Amino acid sequence: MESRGLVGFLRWFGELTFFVLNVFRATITPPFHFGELLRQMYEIGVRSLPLVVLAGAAIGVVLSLHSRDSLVRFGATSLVPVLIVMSVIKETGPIITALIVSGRVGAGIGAELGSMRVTEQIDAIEASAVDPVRLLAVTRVTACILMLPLLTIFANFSAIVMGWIANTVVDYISFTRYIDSGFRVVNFSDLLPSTFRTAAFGAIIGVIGCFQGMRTKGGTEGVGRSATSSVVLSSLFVIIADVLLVRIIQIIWG
Amino acid sequence: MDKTSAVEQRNDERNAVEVRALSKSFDSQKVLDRIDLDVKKGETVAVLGRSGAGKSVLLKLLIGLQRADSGSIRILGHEMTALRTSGLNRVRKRMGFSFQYSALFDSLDVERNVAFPLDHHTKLSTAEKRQKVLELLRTVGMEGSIEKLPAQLSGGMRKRVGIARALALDPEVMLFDEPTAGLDPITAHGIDTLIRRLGQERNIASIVVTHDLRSAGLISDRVMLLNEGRVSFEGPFEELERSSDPFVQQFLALSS
Repeated sequence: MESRGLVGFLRWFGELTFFVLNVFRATITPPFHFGELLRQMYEIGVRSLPLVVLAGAAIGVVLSLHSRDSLVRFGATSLVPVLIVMSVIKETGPIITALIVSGRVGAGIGAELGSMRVTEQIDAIEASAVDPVRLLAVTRVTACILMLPLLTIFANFSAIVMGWIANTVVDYISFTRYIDSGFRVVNFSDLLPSTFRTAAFGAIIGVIGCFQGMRTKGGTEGVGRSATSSVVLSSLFVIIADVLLVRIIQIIWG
Repeated sequence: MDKTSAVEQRNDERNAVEVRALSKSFDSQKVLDRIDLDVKKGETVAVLGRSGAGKSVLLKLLIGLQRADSGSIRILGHEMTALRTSGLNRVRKRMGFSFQYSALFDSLDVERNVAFPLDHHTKLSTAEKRQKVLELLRTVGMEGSIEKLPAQLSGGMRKRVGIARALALDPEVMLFDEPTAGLDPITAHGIDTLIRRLGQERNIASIVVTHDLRSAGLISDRVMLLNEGRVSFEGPFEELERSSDPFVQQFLALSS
């Protein structure tokens, strides 16, 4: 958002809306670039996996320690598993995954496309009679949408397992009992909407990264600005979308 | 042959490129002001001028990477200013663009860079594509570097690979943006010879943007000199040297 003030914001938002419509149109009409989509799914999904699993593990440990510390005061330590599972599945897993991917992938897309813009590679794609929005943006946005829910499942799994390990160190409980106890009150209406709302986070991360990258100006300094703004804006929009989606999910599923 | 095809063919035979009263401004700065330009098939026109004279903008307008404020651009009989993306792409497949800094795709090796237009616009088999890429790389003298990444190539080699990629779909119009800028005299001479040879052997209409006077003299049938968005001179290179226009005189004196 190079021009400041309300007019600058409205212009940026107008261009973003136009870009989103353009990406949507290109997503549902041929030609499709499946090879590039698979490459992006690998880059965005597989390569983010270690970081997401590690973040999930850390969250699991921290949640376990905090839950136990709080619940022990009420003599309700038997509720530790259910508290970990519920908080991981419903909120912590999805939002942590989205923010981790926003940092890693958002910055990557912003910098890569920004660099391609300033070195005229995007112009070269267009001059070769290929639509850069289809080739670069549609593939990345679709890969983000498809990969975020999968990464969230891995983060949730990692957090729940590490929550058990951290809990077991203090107070032994078998894994079967931990899972039984944790999932006793959890049903599909807790799991599915929470996990699949991350597809919307994926769309936000992909769109913002591609949009900021493809409109980069001003050489290497501009590339840096695009990478930074991609992370800042996608994280901000993910958090805003999270608030809205949680409320919508509550209205629909109760 | 239908009526439209007949008109297109007639235009093709007359001029591959016809530019009339082309203007372009950025904010309040007029970069091109009512430019006219004709290029026939097999002809090479060099566009000369100071840095920031609008030379590169002219090329980007011709291939539709930027939109003109006013004026007409006819490429191979098609009015580019009236075309939408799909129409522009049909004409772009008949054009080639060699970028100033080559614009090779960093993540792809030389083979995939050159094959990029073939991958997207032809149904050739993998073996046929490789054959075609080798043939193109041989044309530009780069057949030994097929597996290298752009980062492993020198500036002159990157330019050659960029030219090979631009030639992949056998274009009828070629646009060269500063093909010899930043190169040593021997490499630059090699590129100049290649451009000259391509125009003659393949009957390509070429527009070469350059600020290298020696290069313009070697490769062009005609030169066009831009100054503050307007044409200061247009004609054969020999006549440029005889021009009495003060800007032309100053440009020649400082260039030599």
